[in-house]
Amino acid sequence: MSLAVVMRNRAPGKGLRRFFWTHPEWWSLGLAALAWGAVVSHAGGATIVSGAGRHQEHVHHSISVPHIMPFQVEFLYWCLMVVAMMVPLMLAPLRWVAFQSFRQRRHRAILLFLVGFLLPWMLVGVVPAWLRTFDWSYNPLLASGTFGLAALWVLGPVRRHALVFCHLTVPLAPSGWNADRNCLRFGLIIGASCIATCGLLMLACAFTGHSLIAMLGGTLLGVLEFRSFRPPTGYIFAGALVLAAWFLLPISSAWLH
Amino acid sequence: MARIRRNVWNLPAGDETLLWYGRAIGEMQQRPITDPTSWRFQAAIHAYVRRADPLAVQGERLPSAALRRQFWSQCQHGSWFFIPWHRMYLHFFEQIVAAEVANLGGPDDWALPYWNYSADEESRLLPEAFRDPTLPDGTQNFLNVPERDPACNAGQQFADDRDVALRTALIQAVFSSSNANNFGGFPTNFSPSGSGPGQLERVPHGSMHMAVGGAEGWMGAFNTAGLDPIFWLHHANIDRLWQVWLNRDPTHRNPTSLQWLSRTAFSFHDASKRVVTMRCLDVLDTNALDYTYDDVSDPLAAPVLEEGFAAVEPETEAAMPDDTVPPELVGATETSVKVGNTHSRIRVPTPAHAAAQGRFLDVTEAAEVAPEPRILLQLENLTAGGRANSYDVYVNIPDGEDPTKHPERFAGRLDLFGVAEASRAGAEHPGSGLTYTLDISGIYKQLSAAPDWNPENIDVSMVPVRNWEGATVTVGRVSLFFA
Repeated sequence: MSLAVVMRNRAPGKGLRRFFWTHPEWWSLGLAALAWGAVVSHAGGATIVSGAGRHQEHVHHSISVPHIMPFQVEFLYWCLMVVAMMVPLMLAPLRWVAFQSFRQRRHRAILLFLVGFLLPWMLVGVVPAWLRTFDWSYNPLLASGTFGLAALWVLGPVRRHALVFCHLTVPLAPSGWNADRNCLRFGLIIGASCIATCGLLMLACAFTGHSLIAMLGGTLLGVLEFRSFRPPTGYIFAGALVLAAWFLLPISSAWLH
Repeated sequence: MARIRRNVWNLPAGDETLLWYGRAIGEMQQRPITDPTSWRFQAAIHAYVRRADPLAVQGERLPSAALRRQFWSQCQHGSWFFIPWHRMYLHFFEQIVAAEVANLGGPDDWALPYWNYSADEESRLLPEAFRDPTLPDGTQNFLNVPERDPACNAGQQFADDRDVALRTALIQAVFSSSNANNFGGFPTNFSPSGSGPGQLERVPHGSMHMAVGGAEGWMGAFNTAGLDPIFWLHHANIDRLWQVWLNRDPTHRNPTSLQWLSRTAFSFHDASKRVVTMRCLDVLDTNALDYTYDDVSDPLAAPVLEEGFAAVEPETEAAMPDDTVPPELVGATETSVKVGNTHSRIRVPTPAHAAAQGRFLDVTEAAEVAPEPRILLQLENLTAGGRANSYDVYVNIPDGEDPTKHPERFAGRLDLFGVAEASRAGAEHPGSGLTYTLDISGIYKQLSAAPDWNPENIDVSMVPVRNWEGATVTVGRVSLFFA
């Protein structure tokens, strides 16, 4: 390689340009990071790492005056949680839609996929946001029970099929309205499959009041699972059960006292 | 002492390797499907769908759902696990057959033969021992199944030069890459039908599956392929070609990624029905698995039977593009296209060809070393409702002319092995179908040098290979990439 080429390859900005070329999905990960930031800053303080401790407080409050959030706030938290937890799992399809598109359309393709992907999640999110307007939904038994259900759901055939479907690819038109529609539709399909796969787990996370423990645990399970057609079902099942047990702790300790 | 796998065509007169193979199969076929050493269980490891099981008996008991999930339908296709997974599969199958042979009073060192169909025209024929339904003494010949292409069992030519061509696979410089220029497949996770077959998986692997299987034969489908005794000799040859590729050039190496070497594990039963888990790391050396091949010499060192390819294939090893830069889309069809059993022509607009080339060189580190990008033709999301024909793909055949008269425009053969299974969404496949990528750099260069070259589009011709009616194939998209 000549000196001229070496110098050109080392020129300022070359590495950055190469990075943006090879990772057009960078901004969607930034979006997820922002969502994590918002969730963490909301949780704040020492209680953020202790789901059990935090719920102990909720149990106590639910007897008297629970901290019930308005529907809009709960819905916003749901949206943040979905972006924080689900978008990083979508790296493969995000890169796929980008590189199946013309260069000048890559970001548009990613955006449309994300819109399609998030839309069903937002629609589904109305339910937990509404449920969280009732004080009974703050009972940790509900969160724990939903994690238990999520663990059972892991073992069922419907979920296994849905998980395989998460690895679907579809042909994308290269340009025009057809291309936009294809990206949007692809996002919708993957979003719907993702709900069938992870919906219960996310619902359980919502019932914990978007606890960081629940969200981090759920994300870890998602990463473990999404990287393979043949996920370690036993680990996912056990992980969901651990979360169920964790959020049961406040109740059992209350009973013990 | 390691077992020696020998070419089935070179077994000496009076050799009993195939005789014992047939006897062992007969015994294995007696066992219930719940027995991991039974013939049907072994075939189901490759793939199993109850409704497509030709030997299903109403009311029979299957292994538990958990056992099926762990051991059945494990085959790796369209993936860099294709070659090592099949090596593991064959290793345990050979162990089971060898144990049965010894049990029946046969030799202790029985080894699975391989079928080298690429040596010459005669070697492409189905070996004689597999053709007749009965043995000379009138007893059943377990090596024969009627579910093959009729010409195959009749001892007639049923495959052509392109089905057994080795050159494209063996000249690949790398085992795996995220573009078409690789020997062993794209990097994937566990993948029953990935979209990145390596050149070896496409030809001769897939093409010979379809040639032997024909319109309805067992070899032509994931679910039934392992039921045909010739399947195992075919895959022994594919396994041998891995060693041939490694030996023929010191720069040819296996992947060093931990994802490939050790992070993905596969489970099998050995001859004593114990569960054994293996990783690619465990199967890199055949000696460690207690077998070798009698011949792993380089077939490209001598003239090979590939007349059709000579005009378009590079003279030297394929130049390796910078794999860290993803290929750039240059053009694609707007909608999907149906392809039947006649010659189909598909126009692919390539509006971004000039811009893409300039930008591509700008970010490619090795711009001076490889100033011309590789040109990749991608046929995406090929789906079909049943078994489909194989297709030869040509580029820019002049109007009204017969593509077969233009070998210099031949881009590659699409075998479509497993297309029906890959098109149906279910527990193993998302239903995306198959995707093939063909390197057409040589043809593109040739075309672009012509005075009447129009870079704004290319025409892709798909010509059915076999003379039987296959299911209509939907080609999701045809696209062109610079890599």
